[in-house]
Amino acid sequence: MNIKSLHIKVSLSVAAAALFVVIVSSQFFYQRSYENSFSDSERSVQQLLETVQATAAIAAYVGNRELAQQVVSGLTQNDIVVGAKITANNEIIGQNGKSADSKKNPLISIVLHSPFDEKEIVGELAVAPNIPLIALRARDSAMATAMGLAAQAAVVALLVLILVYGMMTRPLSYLSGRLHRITPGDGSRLDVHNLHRGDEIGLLAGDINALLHTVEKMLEEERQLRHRVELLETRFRGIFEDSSAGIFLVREQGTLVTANPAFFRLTGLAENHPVEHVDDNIVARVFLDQEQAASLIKLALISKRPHSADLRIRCENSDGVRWVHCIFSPAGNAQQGVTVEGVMYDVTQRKYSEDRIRELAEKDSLTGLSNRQAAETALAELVQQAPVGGSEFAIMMIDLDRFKFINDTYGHDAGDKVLYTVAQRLRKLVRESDVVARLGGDEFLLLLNHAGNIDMVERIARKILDAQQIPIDVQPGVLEKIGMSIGIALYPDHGDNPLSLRKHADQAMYAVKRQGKNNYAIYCPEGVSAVDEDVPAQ
Amino acid sequence: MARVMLLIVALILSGPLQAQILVIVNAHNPVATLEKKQIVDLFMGRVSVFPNKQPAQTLDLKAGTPLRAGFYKYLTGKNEAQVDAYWATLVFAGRMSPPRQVADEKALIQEVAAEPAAIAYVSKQPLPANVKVVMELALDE
Repeated sequence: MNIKSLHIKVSLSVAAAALFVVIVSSQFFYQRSYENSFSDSERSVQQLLETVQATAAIAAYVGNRELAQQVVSGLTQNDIVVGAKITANNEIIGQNGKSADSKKNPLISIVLHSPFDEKEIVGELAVAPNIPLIALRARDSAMATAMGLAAQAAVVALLVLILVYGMMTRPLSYLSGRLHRITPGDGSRLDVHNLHRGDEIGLLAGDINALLHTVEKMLEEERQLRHRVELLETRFRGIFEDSSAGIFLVREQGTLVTANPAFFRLTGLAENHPVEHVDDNIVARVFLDQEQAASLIKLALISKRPHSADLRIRCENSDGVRWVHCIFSPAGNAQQGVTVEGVMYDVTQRKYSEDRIRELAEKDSLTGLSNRQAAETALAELVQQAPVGGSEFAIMMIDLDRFKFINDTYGHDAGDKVLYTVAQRLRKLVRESDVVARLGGDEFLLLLNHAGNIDMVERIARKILDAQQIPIDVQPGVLEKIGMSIGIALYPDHGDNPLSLRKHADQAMYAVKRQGKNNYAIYCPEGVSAVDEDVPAQ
Repeated sequence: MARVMLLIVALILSGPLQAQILVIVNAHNPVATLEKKQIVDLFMGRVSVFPNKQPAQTLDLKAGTPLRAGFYKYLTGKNEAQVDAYWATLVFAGRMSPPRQVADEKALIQEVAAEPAAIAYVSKQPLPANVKVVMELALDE
């Protein structure tokens, strides 16, 4: 049993209190009882004396020794008297027992008066009380009293102990033990005996049960909440981890906070990368268009709205450039500081197929030059872009001479070869920024940017014509020279819109054809083509 | 004689009112007077001699006599029964005896006249010459 248990403490306390009460009270009562008993005995002696006083007085009065002797003998019959004597006229007329004048035994005496005259003293009756006996009896009596008291106190203490144990400490220690074994959440409750309904122990148990109930409810709620959060987290993590889109979080400066596996798959970076290079500018590392990416991030942060673009990324584990569609959204919160969430999809395939489609739409499949559609678009763009009174450009319409003859004579393959060769020559003779297109059949169109003056345009035209002097190997062993007619119109002098420019260039070209072919002509507003007569017709 | 009888009758009749008791001794007794205390000591057996150390013999009236009750009442303040009890105590202890009782006053006077040591009490009356009064008690009741 635990030495610190309430029961032991209470028992020890009650026992100590009872012992203290017994010691103090029994000492007090022993003393009192002893004194009472002693004075009782003395009173008994006194009463004895009073009983025989009259007779003793007679004996003393008449000096009758026989009577006096009778009286003292009678007195000494009592065990509380060890000796007695009657004195009359200073003479002992009766004595019995021990000498009554020993120092230990103080005498108890009464004066004897004359039976006939109260005023006359005739003698004295003295007895020696049996002090040891009286003391012994007083002791016995006192001891009995004290013992009785002690027994009573012991019984009361025992009763108190039993009652306290039964009504307080046992229910309390029971409660405490039960509570000790209860784990909040296991649903168990303290039960209390009907005896304690309404008292403090019942109240205590009730309050503890209420507390347990509350704690259990809170635990249950907490558990459910945690479960929901875990579920949600798993779901989100699944989305994050399994997403085919690369999801990443970067700080304003471009350092990576976190990213999902798809991001690393797309970029080809090692997954432990962010841990090793915390201060690395991941944006600069990943994006080829890093300025654009950085400005998108800034834009998202400033406008607080998502911004997206197709960007190129460096791909470390596969050659070539990959395209991603990247959406940057501000995702800052208090814990992480200012961050931007980026989502990137691989759009390389789409980008390539888009390019392919555009190529198909804009290129002439035979020569690789721009087709009519592309040429018209380019012309329209040039007209639109040209600032008023700004840069000028030239448009050249070219038609091959004798093409129909070659085509008919040597077949389509030969015609195609001619077309292809001419196309290559034209492409070589002009700048990269100039547009070279095949409008269809043997008709070509050149758009010469920044062709400011007529001299420069004419020089180019002459170079083009000169280039055609080299014969083309149309069939094995068959060489053919190709001539061409070139019509030139200048923007904005010969037209301020694509249609008129085309028309005027056409007019100049037909003028060349009419006048003998293999030459060039610049449109003349007067309606007459200005033909360079210097060029000899072939 | 008739005069004497008349006197006695008168005395008896007037006795309770102003009874006079005379303590008498033999005329030859040298004692002239006695104090009340001395008479008590003599009659209650404390002393058996006169103040002059001559032996004394007390004589008493028969028990139940009014004069006897009056005498002891006056002397000791006790009634007859108490006095008898007192004597009984002493007699029981031994060696002590109460005063000898005599039939009447006349016999008392004769005894006192005949015995020099005798002492007795009588009601107030003319006394013969061979007795003398040593004390006169007045019972004022």
